[in-house]
Amino acid sequence: MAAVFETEISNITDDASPDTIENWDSLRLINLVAALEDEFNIEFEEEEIVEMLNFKLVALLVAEKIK
Amino acid sequence: MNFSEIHIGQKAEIQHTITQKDIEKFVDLTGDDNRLHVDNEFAKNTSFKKPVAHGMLGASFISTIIGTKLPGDGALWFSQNIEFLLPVRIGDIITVEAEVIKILKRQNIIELRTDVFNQHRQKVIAGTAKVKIVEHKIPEKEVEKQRKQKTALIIGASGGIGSATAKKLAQKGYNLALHYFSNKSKVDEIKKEVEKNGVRAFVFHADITKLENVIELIENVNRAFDYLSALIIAATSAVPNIIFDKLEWEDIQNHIDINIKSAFYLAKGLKEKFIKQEFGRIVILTSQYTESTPPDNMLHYVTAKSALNGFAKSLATELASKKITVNLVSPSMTDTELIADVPEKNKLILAAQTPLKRLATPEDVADTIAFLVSDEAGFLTGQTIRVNGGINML
Repeated sequence: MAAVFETEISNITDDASPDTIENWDSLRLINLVAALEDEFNIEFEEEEIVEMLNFKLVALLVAEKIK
Repeated sequence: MNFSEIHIGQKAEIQHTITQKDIEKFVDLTGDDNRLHVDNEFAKNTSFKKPVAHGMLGASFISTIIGTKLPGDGALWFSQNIEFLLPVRIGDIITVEAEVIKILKRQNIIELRTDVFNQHRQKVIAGTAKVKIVEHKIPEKEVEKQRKQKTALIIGASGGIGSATAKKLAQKGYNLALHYFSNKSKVDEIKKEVEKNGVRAFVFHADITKLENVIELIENVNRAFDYLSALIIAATSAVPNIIFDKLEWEDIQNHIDINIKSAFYLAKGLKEKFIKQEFGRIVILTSQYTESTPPDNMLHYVTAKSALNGFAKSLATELASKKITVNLVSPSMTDTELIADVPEKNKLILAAQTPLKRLATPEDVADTIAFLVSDEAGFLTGQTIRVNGGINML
């Protein structure tokens, strides 16, 4: 996630979001989704991507998929 | 109860189950150990076959109803005629009824029919009582003192927001009447906790959708406190998701009863007290769903809460000239037991979408309620204060 958003790992806290990470924009979010799908061999629906509002939610959505 | 509040036909009732212990205590107190009351063998050889409770034991509950209910504090019971019609035995559930049958205005005297029935609705005691009502005038200085020593009735004090409000108001020095419906142990805990602030707290049970329960609750509050600054209605009930196809009218009616019928009974019951005090604050909890796109499957809840908004605003208009304010507090999803079943993801999404990036806490809501009941909120009525972190701005 830090690599996709080009930020320090220490910035990826539970509350990390577009408010705290300057590079968290819609384009990079799509890159993040693609990276997650490759890494975990999962697929996200469009409405799930809309729900990726902060790190906690991204983690939760990934956890739901790999369960 | 003041003399002016009494009218012909006014009724009160209490119930009591007669126990062996009652009889033993009566014997201890009066020394009447007549074997007909205490000796099984003796009673067996009489026409009664089993021991009979002392007649005056059953009749003593007439004193309870006069002293605590009708007319209650200030009653001077000076005459009673009585007839014992049937025996009362251990295990009998007696219902004592009092009804005002005569009022002598000049002397502040009322006459009451005082009958006692058993569980089979058989009249076991018949009689009439005469009672003088001694007016209890609170000195001006005392009124002023009580006014400074504020008091609030919290409906639903065992809930997340109700209990947070109790704690907040206790910190501000309020004496509290804490109402609960089902969670007595929780409200007992809250009572203990708030009393650490040096305030007085009383716990009362009531089903607030039932008029007789609300009347009894208000009688109990009036007996506990001469002065009441605020009524806070924070009662909640489980809100199941029901799709429209499966929704029955009863589901809607239940929520209308819990939200509006109860608020109606409570406001009616306390109106006179607030008017006399020339001060009264009513705060009612509503929901932000009434002002934004409602969630799926909650038509019953949103309908009742929307009607409650109209009720509160109309009430605010009706009571404004009496120096009684009525306001609504509309929190967004608040982190209480009520949302324990809401999926974690939904909570996280809502928190992330909220400009202040979190859910409301019970303390956020309690702080707002504490402001609305304070002197500082004297020019606010009919308003909805939205405690929602900015997720819905109107």
